[in-house]
Amino acid sequence: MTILLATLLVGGFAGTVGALLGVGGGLFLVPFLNRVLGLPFSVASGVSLVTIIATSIASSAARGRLQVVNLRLAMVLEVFTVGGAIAAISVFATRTDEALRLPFAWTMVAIAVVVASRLDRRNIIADASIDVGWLGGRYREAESGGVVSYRLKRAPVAVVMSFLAGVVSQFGIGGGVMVVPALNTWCGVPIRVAAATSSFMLGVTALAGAAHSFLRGDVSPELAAAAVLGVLAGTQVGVRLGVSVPAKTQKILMIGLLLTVWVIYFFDLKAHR
Amino acid sequence: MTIDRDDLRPVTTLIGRLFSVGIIASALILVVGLMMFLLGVSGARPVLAAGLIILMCIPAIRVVLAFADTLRRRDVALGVATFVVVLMLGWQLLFAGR
Repeated sequence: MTILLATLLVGGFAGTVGALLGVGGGLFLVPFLNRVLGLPFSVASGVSLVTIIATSIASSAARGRLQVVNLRLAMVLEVFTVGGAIAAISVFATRTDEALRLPFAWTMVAIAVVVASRLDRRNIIADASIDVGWLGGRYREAESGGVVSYRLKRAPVAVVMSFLAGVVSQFGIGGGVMVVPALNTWCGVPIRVAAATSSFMLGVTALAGAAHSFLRGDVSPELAAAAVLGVLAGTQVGVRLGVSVPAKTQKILMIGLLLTVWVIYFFDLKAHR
Repeated sequence: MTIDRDDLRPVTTLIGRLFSVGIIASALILVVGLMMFLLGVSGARPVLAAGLIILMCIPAIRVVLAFADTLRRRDVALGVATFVVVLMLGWQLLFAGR
């Protein structure tokens, strides 16, 4: 009972952060289930992958959220996130490959530095009538109240980061920590659109690994249910915050999240096997 | 009736409905299953598993819907992209856990 309640609460926190910043929330669930509850890493990542699907669906289903998602960009990048996820399942049988842990941790720091260096830079174009290209878009911005445009830049960066996000998603984390900063800092996508599009993509990305874990019996139904219900409640909070929190604050929170991930994966973090 | 090849609004609306209905159905079943588990009622685990399976089916159905929409709009580029995703997920789901 206590374990289920604690999982529900951590799931709620993960769902709030996940929906607000477009990340899966597994960043918190995996260490909690693995390090605090002492569950095997395979079970922790399996439960986490299922909750990432819940975060993705619940945040995308929230009122007005799908209108911010760049559906075309999501459909294209999913080829690479799902490809990365399946490649990771095939290559990393144990899914706790230590060789990837440190490069991943330092990549988080590098991305945090880049996000920090572009804190005041906005990707939006006030003119709603410009040609945004095949993968650009328009959306109604809450801060100005008007329709703004954006264009996708450096598409190869988005492709590479999406593939890598798919790879790391198999560690039970969403991969949004790579996709959102990459889309926002290098590819010209506004932070709100990047977060909403990343959230939308994560469900499909996590599905490959979640099904793999479920069929292997690595997903504890009662723990997963508690985590999913917590995530669903937390997602409602995160989506509401996402509308009111200014873009700059969202970027600062993203930097904090990236550095938290670095701390988690750099110091100890060898998963219990 | 002419079809606007670039209009993603109909499929966006459809996906929104799928997500709303799917997540409510899954959540209700998970609540019932969790209550059964906490009260020690037999058969809780299959109910919980059903809720989780419904949850996992939602993104799979979404990809198939998106692919069908690309066929309707004759959008070759997005059609190829979503078809590749359908193939990869199908392959993974068929061989998952083996």
